[in-house]
Amino acid sequence: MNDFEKRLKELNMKGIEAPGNFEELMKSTLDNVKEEPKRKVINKDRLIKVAGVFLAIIIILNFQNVSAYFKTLLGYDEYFSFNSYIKELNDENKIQGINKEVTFSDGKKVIIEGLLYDGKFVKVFAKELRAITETVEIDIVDGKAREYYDKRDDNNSLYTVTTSLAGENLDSVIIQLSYKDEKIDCELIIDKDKMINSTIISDMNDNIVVIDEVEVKINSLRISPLAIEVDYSVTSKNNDKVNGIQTKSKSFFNEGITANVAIDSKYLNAKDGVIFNSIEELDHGARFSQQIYCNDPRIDKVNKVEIVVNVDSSTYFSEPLTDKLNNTWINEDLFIAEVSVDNEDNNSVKVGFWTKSNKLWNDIETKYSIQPIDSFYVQEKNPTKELLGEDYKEYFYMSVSLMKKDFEGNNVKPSLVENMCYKINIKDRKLTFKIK
Amino acid sequence: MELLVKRAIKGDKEALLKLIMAEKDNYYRLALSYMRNNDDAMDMLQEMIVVLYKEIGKLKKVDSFYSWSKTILVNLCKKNISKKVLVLDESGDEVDLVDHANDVNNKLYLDSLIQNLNEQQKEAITLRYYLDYSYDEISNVTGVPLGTVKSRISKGLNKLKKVVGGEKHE
Repeated sequence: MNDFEKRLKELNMKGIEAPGNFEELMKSTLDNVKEEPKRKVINKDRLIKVAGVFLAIIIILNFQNVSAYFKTLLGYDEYFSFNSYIKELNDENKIQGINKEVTFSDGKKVIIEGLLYDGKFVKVFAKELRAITETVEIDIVDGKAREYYDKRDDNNSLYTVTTSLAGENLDSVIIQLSYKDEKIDCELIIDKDKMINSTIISDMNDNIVVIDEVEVKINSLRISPLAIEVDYSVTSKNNDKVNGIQTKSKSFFNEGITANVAIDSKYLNAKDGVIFNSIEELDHGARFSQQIYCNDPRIDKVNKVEIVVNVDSSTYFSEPLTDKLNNTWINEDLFIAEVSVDNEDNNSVKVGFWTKSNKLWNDIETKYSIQPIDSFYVQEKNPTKELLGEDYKEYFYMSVSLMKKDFEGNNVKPSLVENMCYKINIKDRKLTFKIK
Repeated sequence: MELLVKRAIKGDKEALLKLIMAEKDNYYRLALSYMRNNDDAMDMLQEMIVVLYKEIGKLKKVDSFYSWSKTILVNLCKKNISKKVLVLDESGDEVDLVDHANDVNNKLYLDSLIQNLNEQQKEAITLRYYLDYSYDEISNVTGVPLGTVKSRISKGLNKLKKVVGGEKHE
């Protein structure tokens, strides 16, 4: 090491420690962040992000009135924090009781309290005692598209609800509990008498919506308290649109599909991710089977399903995103406030833009959005009346990668995508299916 | 650590706080190296923990929590710095360092020379020599390719050596 490097080493900050009030400041900051239930969907098969052709399906479920029951199987409200309809099933004594205790080698105990099975999906309810530091992970063996949520009570018991696509007509389901380095498998026998009904709608008329030369056809719907499955096809006679749905190798990388679920026009706690059970190539597009975990629709009460289709066209904003676009009106619906490209490496860009937006029930539809979304975090700012008017919102994306690769290894550059549905009335892209 | 991250992903604030506290000095030094004063560094750390809490659901690899969170901290610091008026020459590149050549033994002087390098070189050299980061770690937290990190450090050091003397850095 030469003298100069030695001098540089003297600048080392190793001796500097965080101030004494560090923990207090971090804790108080964290305490002030509004607490929201964290739900996570893990798709073991495939999780496809938004790009190119994009659909959002909104399902509205209308309910008949039913009388209330008061029997209770699971005695803890923590299980139902995010599941009001599962709570109703519990009140009606429709959840299968299990009450199986699993004990790990160091004494850690988990009680599998109950399960629900609808002939395809399974939901497992478990209570973990003294869940203070390390907690137990519960998974359904061979299950797909796992989703879970949990809630802790004042005594540090953790109530976990895990849902997964387990398979059809099962007599039992095997769950795996993981804690530290120990794994315990546990077989749960399914009581067929307690199986929850599902409804399948496959005989459909008026099941097609066409937007911007893209035809969306709903093939079938499966609705149960555990999940909604939508089978639909996306096709086009325009080859450019077909290329937006498929890749040349037919690997279907750039179709992004999301779904939001509402009852009586009120949103349920719908999924956080998009789950595909299968994707099939068609001559002029593709066919999808999508699972949606939502806040547990009571299918015995549903009499009507409405689906609203959104298609973000692959019509991209024509100019590349360069820093020359700072403070530029592109059109009356889009103002680019900031584009900052890392010129030296050309591998990242920060984008801030204002676009018009509408409220669609509990969701926001924007005229433009950035795709593919691949950023460290996104900040949405409140509209500023004085600046652009209340119907604009600002979105700020940090460090969007310019080097993102698609499934074929091609670079995918961030683009601003126009929502072709934005000005089309919802009633013109809505499909209604009655349950007989 | 893995279980703490999983708990934090589920929304456990205590777990997130534990993760941060386990590396508190490193987080603080990282923020301080960008912000240059305690108050701004702590502001950035408070912003960071809010972002982490809201965004941790997007963390794909549990074992990359620390590099992910430090990257967010770095981005927040850089975003905040960009709002401030930077004391740079017009090109944002080299400044006249020769006038201070008599102070070569002064630590503060060397620090001031580094602060006057261009932003990319300053960042790489600060992380390397102030915080003892490896080239890989610098590449991870800044999102810059490894080769570019090496090149930035090398170019920055050569600029400094032009002023204070020493062998050329290869």
